[in-house]
Amino acid sequence: MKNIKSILFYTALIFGFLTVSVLSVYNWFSNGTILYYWDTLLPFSSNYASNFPYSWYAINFPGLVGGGFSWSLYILPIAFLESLFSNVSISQVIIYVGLIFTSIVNFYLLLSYFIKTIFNKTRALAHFVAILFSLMYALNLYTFYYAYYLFNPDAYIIAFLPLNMLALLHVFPFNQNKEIKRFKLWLFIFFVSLFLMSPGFTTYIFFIQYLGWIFIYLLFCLLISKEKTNPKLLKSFLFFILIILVNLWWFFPAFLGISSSYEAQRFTTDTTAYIEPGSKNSNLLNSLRLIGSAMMTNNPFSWFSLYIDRNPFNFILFFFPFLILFLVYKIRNLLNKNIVLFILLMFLVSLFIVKLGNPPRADITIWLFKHIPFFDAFRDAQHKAGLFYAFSYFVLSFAGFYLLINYLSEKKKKVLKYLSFIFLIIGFVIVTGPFFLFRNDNIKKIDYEYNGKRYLFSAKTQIPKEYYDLKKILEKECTGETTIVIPRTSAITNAVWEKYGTSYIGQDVLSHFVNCNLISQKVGENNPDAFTNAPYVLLRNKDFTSFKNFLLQNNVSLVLIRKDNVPFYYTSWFYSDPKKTITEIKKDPDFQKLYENDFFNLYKLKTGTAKNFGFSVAKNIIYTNSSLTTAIDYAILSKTIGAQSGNLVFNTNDSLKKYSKSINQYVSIGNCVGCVQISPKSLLEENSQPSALRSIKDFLKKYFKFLNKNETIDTKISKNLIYSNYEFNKLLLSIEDKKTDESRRNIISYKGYINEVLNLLKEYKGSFFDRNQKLLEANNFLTAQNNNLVNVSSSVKDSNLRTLLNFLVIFQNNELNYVNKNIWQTNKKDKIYRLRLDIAKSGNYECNINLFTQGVFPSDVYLGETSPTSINENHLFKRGSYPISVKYTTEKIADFPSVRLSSIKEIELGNLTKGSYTLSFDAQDIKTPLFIVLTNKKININNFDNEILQKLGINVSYSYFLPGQFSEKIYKKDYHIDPFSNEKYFLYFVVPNLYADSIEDQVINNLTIEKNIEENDIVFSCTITPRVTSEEEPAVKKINNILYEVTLPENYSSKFLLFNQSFNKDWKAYPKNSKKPLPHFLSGYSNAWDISNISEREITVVFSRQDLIIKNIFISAFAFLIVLAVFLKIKK
Amino acid sequence: MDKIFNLKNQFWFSWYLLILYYFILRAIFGIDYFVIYSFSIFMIILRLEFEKIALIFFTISMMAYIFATPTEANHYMSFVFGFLLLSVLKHFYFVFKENLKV
Repeated sequence: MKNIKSILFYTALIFGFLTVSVLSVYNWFSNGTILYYWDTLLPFSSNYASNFPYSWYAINFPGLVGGGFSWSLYILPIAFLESLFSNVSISQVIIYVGLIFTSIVNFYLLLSYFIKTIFNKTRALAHFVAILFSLMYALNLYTFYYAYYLFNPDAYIIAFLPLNMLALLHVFPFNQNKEIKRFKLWLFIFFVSLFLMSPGFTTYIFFIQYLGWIFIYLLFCLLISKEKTNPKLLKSFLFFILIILVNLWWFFPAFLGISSSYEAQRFTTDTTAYIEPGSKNSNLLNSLRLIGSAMMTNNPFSWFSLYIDRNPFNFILFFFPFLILFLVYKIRNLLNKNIVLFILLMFLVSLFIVKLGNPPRADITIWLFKHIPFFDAFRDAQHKAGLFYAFSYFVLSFAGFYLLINYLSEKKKKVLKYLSFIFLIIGFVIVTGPFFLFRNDNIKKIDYEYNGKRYLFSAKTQIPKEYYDLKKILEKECTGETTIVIPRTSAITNAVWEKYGTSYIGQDVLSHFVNCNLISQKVGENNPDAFTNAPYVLLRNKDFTSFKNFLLQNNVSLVLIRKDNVPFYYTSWFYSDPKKTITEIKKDPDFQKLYENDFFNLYKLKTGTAKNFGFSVAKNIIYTNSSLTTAIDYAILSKTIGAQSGNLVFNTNDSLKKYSKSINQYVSIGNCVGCVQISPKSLLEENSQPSALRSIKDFLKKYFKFLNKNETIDTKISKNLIYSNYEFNKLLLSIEDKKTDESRRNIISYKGYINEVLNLLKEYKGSFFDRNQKLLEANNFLTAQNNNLVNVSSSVKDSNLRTLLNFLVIFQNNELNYVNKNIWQTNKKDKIYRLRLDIAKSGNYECNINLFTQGVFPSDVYLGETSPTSINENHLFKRGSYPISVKYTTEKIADFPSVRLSSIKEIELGNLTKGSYTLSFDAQDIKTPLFIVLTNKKININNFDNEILQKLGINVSYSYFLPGQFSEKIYKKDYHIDPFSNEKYFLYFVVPNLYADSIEDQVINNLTIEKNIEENDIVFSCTITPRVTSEEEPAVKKINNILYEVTLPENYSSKFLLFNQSFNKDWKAYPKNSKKPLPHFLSGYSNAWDISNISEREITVVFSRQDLIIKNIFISAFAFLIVLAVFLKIKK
Repeated sequence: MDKIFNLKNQFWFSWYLLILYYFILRAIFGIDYFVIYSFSIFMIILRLEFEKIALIFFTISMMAYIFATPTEANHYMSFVFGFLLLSVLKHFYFVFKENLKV
């Protein structure tokens, strides 16, 4: 009877959990929709899954290293479900419901174990409370934001961590007096649950934390063990090794690609930039209630304010931290307090990271971010440390609640007991609120206005049938070809399908949907991305001929135009208007329309070459001095080539020396002199004090003269400038500390170094450009120091010291005068753009000026520094460096003799293009402070502050004007703008409310906005016209993404084989019957091999890493079994 | 010394009166770390358990959250965190100490 009862109970329980799981997500998938938003990764076809096991992703052209094997358990089942049901929605809902259900069940099992092992007495009530806490663990604010509403495979960890911990508690129990029952079963459960958690470990910081907590657990067990230490130590050690081995199948490939993926995901070099000191969202008050996650802050859900603001609604959530405190208070009443201590430690450490820049001791967090390698992987700490935090939070609060109820029962305080239950129920409703209470409005939507039309991006969406129609056509055509998609997307994209009332914003659907080589989404590697941006730059520059040439050069034979994309700040990157591209394509007879529907146009470039999967033999071998790191570098190079395909590009001195006999085209691109302005702040900060190593070296050199090598004058100049900066920083510190005598000493030593620099500059006999480089260096340092000193000296109260500082400013100005007289650099005042042209080989060059901005008009080009001579298109250059000057004029985009001020004055500037603009006006007549705001959206001046803060997709540049701030009579300020499409810009002058009454009759005189020049706006390049050989293309057979068989044409004469996927040293080419790989090198962004010394025509090209990865799977599995056998033997 | 250590058992040093004393100190000296640290040290000298001090600061924090500002409440919550950490470390110490004896 008892058995039947318990069977009925558990059946009802499972049914109940399943019902709750379905209800929690039903709204997202009703009507056959999917949930798709921002970073969600959802394979839309089995093709994506079939590409997944390869360590090279070729879907996004030009390809990148793949290391996300751990996602196999997510990608493969979802692809299987999709092919089973032919429905993405059903497969997504099964994954969601499955994971939520598993989370609830596993947490309930863990709590049931706790009830048995840590409490004196157990009651049915305990199971009811355990059910509530299990539901809260699976469906709370953390899981809602970080696991489900934009799906993240972390959900796998959330689902299986409780079971894994439960198994660990059985395998390595704290209470070692008890015999371990079913040891092998629990060991099996431990490793299976660990394997099932692996999709979540792709966020590597979760794996590191997991290893850390397991290590601490084993150490804790070891330290309190009453067994002999050595066997126990060996057991713990072997167990830890087993954990590593069971994860090696995915971790090894991830490790091979970790540095590039880490760099690609890092958005700043300052690791502490992710810490927002005193952030309200993650302070203890909010973190202790699981609210205020980073994703809540920009979420427009209607219930947002209920959680984030100070509100009686969320006050009840303080009940949970109280329960944890109560648990600690009554910890002695527990049967096994060691488990609780371990979880408490997990809770406190995780909370310390979760709160990030908030007290207490945020300085420790900052130190950790600065000095511990990879610690900044904890950026968005609510997410990254929150996983173990939320786990420990609910375990501890459950234990606390159960203890509280027991305590109140013992004390017979019925009212308080009932009140506790009421608090728990209310807390339960609030914690699970996003899933149930607010289920009618828990879908992410972005309301967005573009060109006066409103658009809505919604996370609940459905892929329209037009995509499926396109897939059929495109996949037939694209084999062996590359397809360019217009417009280009950033890491994410959007689409609005008005006829169906649906839309999306997130990862590019096309690249997860169509099995083709698409240029659409950025791959996250600088050089390949720079290359694929080049055609978009050419389109934006309205240079359709060069765009077409680019396609021909690189065998890009298919052009897919997307008509469902809306330009949006976060999703547009190198935007080009699809309508304008269609118009241009229609005019060109070489393009043939293959297909059209409401959302796409597909064209084929008729002159495209055969389907050769990106392989070709080199017909044109180019050397360029360009660094090839930006889209403009590639665009310029492309323009000098014409329509020729099969171009091998060298751009290093080593390759120039090695292959000079093979090179048949030289492309020299002028580098602007004086365009890049180093920020004074960073220049001073980066050279503020000598490094420890430098100090030791200097110390040794002082006493051991033989260490002092003969330094050249240019090294001495640079060193003296850096030393002068050390002294200058010491001076600033002594001024700050009001140490006058020390300041005097620092001034003397600083002046000593600067005088030395000037003397060295005067006697320096280097080449023109070398000497000029030193003058530029001196100018940068002196200007930065001078600006800083002017700012500091005004606040010095000691009159003697201020006088000294004023003399120092005069001294600096004199030195700067000498430098400026002799320096040769771009002169924006007289509008002369100056550049250095390096010629690698003597010859007759054809020179051109290309513009990559609008509103700049070059007129004459001169050669020489002192008495320049005009040069025309063709010029005979000898090997060497040449100073080139380009005279130019710029366009004034606004010119108003006078503008009457009002509280907010709006000026429409029209459509502006990317670049720098100088705003200037007469400053002497303006008596009130002004905020100057430049935006790419018209702002409603009646609701100015709110709109500027809240309007989505707005690009704002701020500055301010204070009367008397400038000694010059004219206010001048440069603004750099980067429109994401061709949108209109507006300038606003805002008078602060305090001064609103005093603006009558005030006018801004001579207001102008003029285009300003920046590096790469004018590109001067010279090239020797090549003699190109004609060659047949090789025949290529693709075995899979990482293996190709190439057959070179008969009687080929080329010395190089090219492959247009991103360069990686693991791409290897082997001639048939040879195990020795061919010499492999970089051609621009891609791969090239030297085939001059082979006799065979058959070559196998392979991404060698795959072989290593497969071997690793077998070796780690074998090693796991051996270590497991040893572990089990010791256990006996 | 024993007299001082036993003070915590007296009515005048019960937890709710300690909270009251703190708010009196706060009214006199204002919100100052000096006051909070002195109050904490005073409770440690009384040999109040760390977990009890954490609960006292939690109550103060809740009162400050309702009647004063969340910023002030957050300061007290830092002390809750601190004393909770001390309490956990104390428990670890005794666990290891017990084990060493064996």
